[in-house]
Amino acid sequence: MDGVGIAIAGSAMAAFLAGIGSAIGIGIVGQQAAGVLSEDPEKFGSLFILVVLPGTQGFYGFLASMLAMGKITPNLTMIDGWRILFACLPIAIAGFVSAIHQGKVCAAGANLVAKRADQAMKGVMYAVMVETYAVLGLIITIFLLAKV
Amino acid sequence: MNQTVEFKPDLKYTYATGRIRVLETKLLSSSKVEKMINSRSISDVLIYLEDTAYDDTVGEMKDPGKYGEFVKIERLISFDLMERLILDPDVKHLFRIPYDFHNLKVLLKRRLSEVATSIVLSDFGTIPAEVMKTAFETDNFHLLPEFMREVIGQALAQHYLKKNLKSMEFLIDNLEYNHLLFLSKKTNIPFLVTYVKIKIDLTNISTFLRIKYFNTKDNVEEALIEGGNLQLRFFLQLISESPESLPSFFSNNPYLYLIEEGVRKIIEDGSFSIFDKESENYIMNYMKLSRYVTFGIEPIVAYFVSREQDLNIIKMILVGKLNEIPTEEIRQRIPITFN
Amino acid sequence: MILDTNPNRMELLRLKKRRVLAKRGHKLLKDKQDELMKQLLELVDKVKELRKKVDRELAKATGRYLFAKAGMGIEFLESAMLIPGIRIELTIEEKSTMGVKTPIFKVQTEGSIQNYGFAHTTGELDSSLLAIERVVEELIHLAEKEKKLQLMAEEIEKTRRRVNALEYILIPNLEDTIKYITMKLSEMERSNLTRLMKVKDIVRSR
Repeated sequence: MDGVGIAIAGSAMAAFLAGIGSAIGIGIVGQQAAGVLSEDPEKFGSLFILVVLPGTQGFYGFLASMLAMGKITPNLTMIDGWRILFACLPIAIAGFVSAIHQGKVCAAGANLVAKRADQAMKGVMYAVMVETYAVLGLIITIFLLAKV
Repeated sequence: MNQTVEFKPDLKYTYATGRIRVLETKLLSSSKVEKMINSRSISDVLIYLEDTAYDDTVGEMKDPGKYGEFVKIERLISFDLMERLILDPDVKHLFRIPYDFHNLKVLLKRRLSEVATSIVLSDFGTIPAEVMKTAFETDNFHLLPEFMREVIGQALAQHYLKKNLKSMEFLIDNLEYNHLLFLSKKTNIPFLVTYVKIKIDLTNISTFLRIKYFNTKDNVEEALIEGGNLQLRFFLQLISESPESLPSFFSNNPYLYLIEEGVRKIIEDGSFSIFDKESENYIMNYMKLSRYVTFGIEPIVAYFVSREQDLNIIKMILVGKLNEIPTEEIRQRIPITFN
Repeated sequence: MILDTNPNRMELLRLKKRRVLAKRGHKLLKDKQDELMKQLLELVDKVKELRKKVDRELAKATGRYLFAKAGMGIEFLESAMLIPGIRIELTIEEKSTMGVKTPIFKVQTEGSIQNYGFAHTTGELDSSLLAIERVVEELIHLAEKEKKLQLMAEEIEKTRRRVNALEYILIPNLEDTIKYITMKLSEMERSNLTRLMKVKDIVRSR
């Protein structure tokens, strides 16, 4: 078994785990936002940021996946393959988990907007705090990939 | 208020909670209620209802004396919304079953007493009123669901034994709450189980005080309902205590405030107005716990209950203003609102 | 006015008897009137107070009932009130005081006005219904008193008319007639006397 398959698996994991997380997260906040909008369509603007926020993890995963792909060469050793896979894990897992939780935080933020539209930024702030850990995951992944 | 309850997140209701959070903002607020109480005329009261959830119906209300019509329409809207937002049939039934039991009582009472009265059945029940009526008229009880058949059987047996309509009604009330408790446990939502238990407790406290204070010759054991947080034994041992000493027996239980305030007024002039108000307040405070729930059915239930409460408040204020009752007297009867 | 009578002694005697009778009757009626008046005034005060009390309590009880009604679901109120639990039996007896026949209402209640389960009804409904029940009893009491008052007032009116008739018509008439007859009689006496004197003179001059 050569390292290419393992490296591809790592790169794919970064994309699909973070992507699934984002999809679930947006799914949650999207439903809540749709509920709010069905009664008060004027809040679309304040809700928009909250709905897209959990989507960033999927994007980070995509970015990490691309970087990992750049490292894949036909004669990759097994050791290097494993290295790439492990380097992808931080964004894959942190992205997956944080996106779901960010979705929930954003949904709570959407509740806040439902009551008081002028407080939307406060909801966004809390959601961004969750975002931090996805960003940290991404940074670590990038550094680790550089070391491979 | 020191009732605690566990909330289980339920992502099924994410859309519905989002909607409810907006709708909630249109419920009556305490400042609005205060303004309504202080307004000089009926038309002023109605003006304050603009920008609330009741705006449309109020606009169509031509004669404030016909507030019954207004409440009826708003009730329909409430139930319709609940029908669409709540996915769990058992939860819907929790709020509809009381109307089934109401219909049952009306039909049973008409049959068992020789008094020929015109009857009005409610359409909010789980069993269509027409089906109930036909079942009773044709004695074809197989049209009804099993739990209802069982209730009818037990109620008739009780009536045969005791020859007393009131006794039968006590039994029906008991069976109703048993069924509600069963349904709430089936939903597996702690918020609802506690809600039904609180309802049972409040009903029992009220029943107990009424029997004690008005000295009716009713059997306390029959009239009280089983299944609440407060045991029947607890009430039975209180039956010979003086009304003044009652609050001391509730010292380490969440209903202390309500009993203190309620009993004080009852002793003062025999009026249950404060007790009734404090009971409503207790339930409303419990409903307010749902404010911190983002995912789950609780906010929807709380909205539904709060809406019913709002309608009662509007009714009371309109009645007060129509009959030119002093502002102070109206105010002391108005319970708190969700907002 | 002078009554249409024959001025003779028999008539005079009869009239004098009538006058005595009329005066005695007048005095009795006058006493009755005074007494009735006294009782009426006492009763008026009582009725006034009771009326005020009943009015106040009725307004209070109905106000409470209205609130109780507003505070609960209309359906549940309907099923609670479907079968009346109370029977009020009203028996009317008559009592005669000073010739006035006044009714006495006796109320007998059976059962309880609270004839429904506790679960879907409020305590305030009980308490307002009981308040109304109490007011109804007082209302009947008030009706009895007010009827008595009315009957007494009618009787006083009647008595006063009689007293006035005696005082201003019958007795003066009798007195006038008596005076007339007395005068007529003494007139006749005098004319008799002069006639006799004349006859005596004629006889003596012969």
